Amino acid sequence: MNTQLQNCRADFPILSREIHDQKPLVYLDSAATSQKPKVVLDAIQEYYQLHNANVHRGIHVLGDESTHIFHESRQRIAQFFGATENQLILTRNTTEALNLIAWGWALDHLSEKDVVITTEMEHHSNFVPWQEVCKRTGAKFEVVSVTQEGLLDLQDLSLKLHRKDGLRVKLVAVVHVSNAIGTRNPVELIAKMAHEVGAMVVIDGAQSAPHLPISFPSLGADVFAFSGHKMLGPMGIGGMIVSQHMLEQMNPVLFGGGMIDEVTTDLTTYADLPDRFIAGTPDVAGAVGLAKACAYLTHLNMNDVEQYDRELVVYTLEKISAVEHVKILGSLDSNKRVGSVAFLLDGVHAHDVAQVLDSEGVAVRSGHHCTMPLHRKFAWAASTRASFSVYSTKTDVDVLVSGLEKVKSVFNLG
Amino acid sequence: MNDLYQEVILDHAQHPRNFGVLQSPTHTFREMNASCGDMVEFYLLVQDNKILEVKWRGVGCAISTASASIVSEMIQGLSLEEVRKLDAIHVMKRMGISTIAPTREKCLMIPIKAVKQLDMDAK
Repeated sequence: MNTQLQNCRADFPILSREIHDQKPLVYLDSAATSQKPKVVLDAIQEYYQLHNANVHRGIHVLGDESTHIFHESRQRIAQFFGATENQLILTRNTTEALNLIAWGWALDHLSEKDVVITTEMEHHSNFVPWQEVCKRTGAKFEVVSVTQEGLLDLQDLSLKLHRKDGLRVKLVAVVHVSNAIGTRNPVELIAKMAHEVGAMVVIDGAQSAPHLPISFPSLGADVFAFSGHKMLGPMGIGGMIVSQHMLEQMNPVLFGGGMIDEVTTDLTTYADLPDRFIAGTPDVAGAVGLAKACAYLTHLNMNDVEQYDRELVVYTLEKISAVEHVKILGSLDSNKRVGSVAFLLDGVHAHDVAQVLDSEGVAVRSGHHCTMPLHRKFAWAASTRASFSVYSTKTDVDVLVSGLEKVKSVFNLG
Repeated sequence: MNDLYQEVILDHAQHPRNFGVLQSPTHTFREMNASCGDMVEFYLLVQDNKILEVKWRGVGCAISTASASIVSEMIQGLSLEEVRKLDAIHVMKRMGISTIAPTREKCLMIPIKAVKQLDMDAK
């Protein structure tokens, strides 16, 4: 691990907070949202203090600066994913990006003769939009199984792609890294399999973008969607990298200022790709903050970030599986997981686990983590998840483990 | 937290009262909290505007389980007008707590919302 990464904890002001009678904050809920380094907070404030003006409008110094800063930020964000500015569509978050594909592409390209494939381990945001668009177009909605180990059943995917019912698979939507069980899916292979039958490939990268180096061209997908706030950036900004092939087939969903070419009372023509997908004043400060987060992560080196995440996952799997009455969810093979470890504690509801852990200063997530189909399949009422970011440490995991002993004593579990 | 997991709550959570089903209830009310997977179902036997018997079953955290158990005790023998007046404050008082964090409010409220359906039913 490089020294920048080793010492990065000090860059996050919130982590020095103490809670519940001076207990240090142990933040293990980064998969829900990451904390933000000071450079990101400063960049947002600097934008508003020195450069704030609407983009693409005012012919004045601030307008020029703001426009320049916005484009530079977009370039940096795109570069972080190995893409170019004209492949980037900024949205509020992953959910909005996926919906933009559902309503800006799928709605006009699906019929009763088509199939959309997603999986049992999807976050609701990469599940419900496809379910809904299938309902409206009459297309068939297919869901690939998850194995008992918590991996995607690629044989099932292959069967659903190579169909005998005469229907065409138009789209495969799959999560890169599961937010609930941490599974890292072989998306390059899945993209190849899907492209062989001519389907578009959409990847939900919300949980992979914070932890893995991403090269959009090597993924081979048509869409890679991400959320800024999960990768050290501010809330309210995210986006997707989109292939030219997909961009050319998409229609705008939001209409109005900024996205037009010429408006007459008879007819409106739209701006060039991808500007026609950005209607209204964009979140410039959000883009500035996200670009700074990308620069910060690049400075830490994403290969090292990936390596460090694996170290934490290995350590957590080892420590938590040694706790009696705990069952780890998902694969026990750390090579197949990224970013988080979720578990069940016998006889204690996840909410109660989280509540007692909170009293020890430990922030974890409890519930179904927006993956109800997965929880239902395995009959988990709710689970508790510890998730990491670059600032997480093995000491955080140690405090979690001793917190679990306290949970057990409160609920009289031997 | 030390304030939250009071002896009363833990006792009711681990030994829920009136847990089970009624053979021939006059009313069955179900309430869910999808966001945490909690579910309660109340079975009531109501005669002459009075709750004669209560049973309930469900899955949930310690707070929702204790709340359901306490509510099942509280509403036994009550009239519909009295059920109408039941609120979170009464249940919290029985639990021995004075406040509840906003993130746990739903857990406390699920059983109360379930039996309040009786109120709507009667209107």
